[in-house]
Amino acid sequence: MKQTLITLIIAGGIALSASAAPQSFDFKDAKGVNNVIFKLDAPLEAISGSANGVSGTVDFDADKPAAAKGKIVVTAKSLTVGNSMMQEHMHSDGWLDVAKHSEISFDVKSLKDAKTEGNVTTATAVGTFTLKGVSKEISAPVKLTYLKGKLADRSGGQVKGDLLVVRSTFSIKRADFNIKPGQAEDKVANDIELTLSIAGAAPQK
Amino acid sequence: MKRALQILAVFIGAATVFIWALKGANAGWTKTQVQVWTVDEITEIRSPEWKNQFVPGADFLCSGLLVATGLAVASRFIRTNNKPITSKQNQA
Repeated sequence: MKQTLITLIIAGGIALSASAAPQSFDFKDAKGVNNVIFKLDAPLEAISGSANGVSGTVDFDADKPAAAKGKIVVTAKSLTVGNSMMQEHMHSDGWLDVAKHSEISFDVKSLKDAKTEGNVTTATAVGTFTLKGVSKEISAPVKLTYLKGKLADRSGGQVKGDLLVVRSTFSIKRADFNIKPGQAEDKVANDIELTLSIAGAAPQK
Repeated sequence: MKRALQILAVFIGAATVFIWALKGANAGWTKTQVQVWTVDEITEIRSPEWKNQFVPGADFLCSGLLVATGLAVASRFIRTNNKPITSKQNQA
């Protein structure tokens, strides 16, 4: 009886410590739905495009969502617009120089003003945003939705685990990241609006 | 030659307007691919998929009309082969 009780206490302790540890969510999405939408104002029509080369990891603890941190990386070459010539210009060394600066990243160091309601946490993410080799501290509003046990539904029952959906909309100035600073602002606005919609998976171990 | 250029100008101008209107009269830039949106059922993430499709824009319309106008103007400087009959020739 005594031995059974000890075993139960140890098992309970292990289970508790396992659930309390932050999970690492991998954002390299096999389904390819993770995307970043970018929008810039222009005279004839706003330039809008998307990027789907998303990867990175976020450490998230459902019991302490405010402690979440991680890094999201977007392959610069995956930035796509509807006009092939415009896309060529955008990738060229004059603009994003994707050959030299292949990654755009947001390294989230902390969450501020976090509020959790059910499985949804809203906060302000503070971290380092890197674009065209220039790193700058920024803050962005984020919404984290924790979907416990939903990885199985998404993988057709093949992999059990949890999902974390991250959504964010924020603006940066291209001049801050050495993208033609002070140039062609009558043709392409300085402000770039970014909308992030990504899901990460944490398979059960 | 003059007549041919005029016909070509009218044809290019009309074809440009017709194609532009037929493909949706897009007032923005010409697009070579368009976004098709899908929604992931589990995460409810809306994601775009790029599909190759030619959508002529205002730049296509302007270029076509500019070429047509150029041909029409050029045709004005081409002299016709039919020489006018002078009164002296008539008397002979």
